Amino acid sequence: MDAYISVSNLEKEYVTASREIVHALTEINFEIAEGEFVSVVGPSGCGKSTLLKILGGLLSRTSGTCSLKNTPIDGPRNDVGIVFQDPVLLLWRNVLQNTMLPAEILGLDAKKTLPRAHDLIRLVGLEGFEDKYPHELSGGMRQRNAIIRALIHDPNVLLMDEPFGALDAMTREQMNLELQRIWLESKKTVFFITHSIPEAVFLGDRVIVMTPRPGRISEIITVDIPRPRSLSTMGDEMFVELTQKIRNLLYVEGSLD
Amino acid sequence: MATTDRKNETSKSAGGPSLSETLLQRSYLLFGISFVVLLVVWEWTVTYFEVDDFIFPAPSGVATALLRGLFFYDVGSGVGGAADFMGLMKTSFYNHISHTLFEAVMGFFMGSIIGLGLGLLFMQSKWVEAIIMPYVVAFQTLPKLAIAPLFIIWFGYEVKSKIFLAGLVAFFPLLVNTMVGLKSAATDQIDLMRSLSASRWQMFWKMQFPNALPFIFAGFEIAVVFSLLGAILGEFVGAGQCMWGGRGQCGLGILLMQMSFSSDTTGTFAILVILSCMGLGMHQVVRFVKKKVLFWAPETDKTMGA
Repeated sequence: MDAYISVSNLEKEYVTASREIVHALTEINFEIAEGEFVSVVGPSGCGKSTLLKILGGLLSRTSGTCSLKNTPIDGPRNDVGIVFQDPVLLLWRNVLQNTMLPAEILGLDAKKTLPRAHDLIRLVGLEGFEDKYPHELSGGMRQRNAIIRALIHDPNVLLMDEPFGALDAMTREQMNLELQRIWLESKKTVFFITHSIPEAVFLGDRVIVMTPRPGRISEIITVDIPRPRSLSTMGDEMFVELTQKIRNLLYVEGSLD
Repeated sequence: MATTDRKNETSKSAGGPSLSETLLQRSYLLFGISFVVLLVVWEWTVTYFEVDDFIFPAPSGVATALLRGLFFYDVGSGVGGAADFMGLMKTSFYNHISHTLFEAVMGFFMGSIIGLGLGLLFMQSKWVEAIIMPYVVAFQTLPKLAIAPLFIIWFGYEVKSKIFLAGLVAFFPLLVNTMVGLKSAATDQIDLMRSLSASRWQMFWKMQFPNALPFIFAGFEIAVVFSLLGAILGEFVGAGQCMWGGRGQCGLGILLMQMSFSSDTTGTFAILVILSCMGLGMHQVVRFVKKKVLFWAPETDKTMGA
């Protein structure tokens, strides 16, 4: 397997306001191939968001190495798009303007990116809402807006931090299907954090299972279910088996209390 | 025809909102009704107990004084033939109103622009903030009334001292709200901008400043009311000559003092009505602009530094 993202012996410690040292991540080792969809599942406090921020160049690491396309990650880079737990849309910008934000900041040619923005808006079914502001959109629409904002500058890597955590169950399933479709069309390398075991299995080529205190990888599980997967996949024997296996891993570690 | 009419009526009373619902939805209606009731009760009480005008005037008296001042250029009722020793009452209400309004509005613009500017400056450099902020806070804790006589000495009796005093009280809400607003950016928003390697300038204009706008407008709302207070305060200490015709001194503050000296309680009430309308009007203008600019913001009260 060709390593596109490679993390080895990653450690992260930080000092809290009360001068305590917190060991957030320890002995993190994994590789992600180009175009692969990797889910990360684990309970709160297992350091998954910290891991994502390190990959996004937003946090520094204490020790270990972390590289993308064989260059170390030392800061934010243009070939990475991030989707946060909250959509983090700028409230004074409409759907089109929010989508175009990265293009503006990176100084990309509007002539090229504007048609792309419209394509993306169509891709996630937001056409007709281009001039609507965040307060006029539903939660699902806002998150879709946030996803296409992360795609506008055509990054190779998409980092997603529990993007659907705040959505209701039905919208969430819809978004899972949509994300799979977008991924199949765009073939990005995706690092997807979630709380939900079924979501992790449904979307991932592999699932990284993490346990807390300190955050470490308990196991990496390959999901050998053919694509495109549909919601009925969740009833398949293999799917049920994998989710059960992950659940056991999390319970054995005593982390789901 | 008759049957359909009745049908309409029944469907209306069954499906339409009840009287109490209508009143609650249209709060201005409710306000109108309660205001009329208040006036009637007030009028009746004052008449029934034969309260002296000097102690508490009836609304009808206040209305008369108001109308006389606004339309007949005869301000003072001059209870007991009180002396109009400053010649104020020969000057129309409009002259007094325009002076006070001019001072308040100019002060508002001056004070809030400086407050906004300093707020922006302080946030650019922790050094500037650390050095200057203690002085600003110490200055703010001073009662403004105590500074007013100094302002008269420094800037004279004319409008300048009133404008500066109005500006001084308008300044602080803007400074504090701007600073709080600029600090209000969520970690996620900062991360988003950082992940795109945004420059400090882009970070500021594309995210921080628009983010602070709801706070800044809350500051404007407070400042506009404060500036009127500052103008009146300045006039209390010493009003200047009329600028636009009229004899003697001009300003609602000095008129208020004069009426108080001559025990014209009715006239005082009339001025209070005018001041209240001016305050409301200025506040409404700010709210109107705020609604236009902040159409995207959820309607929440972000009020600080009052």
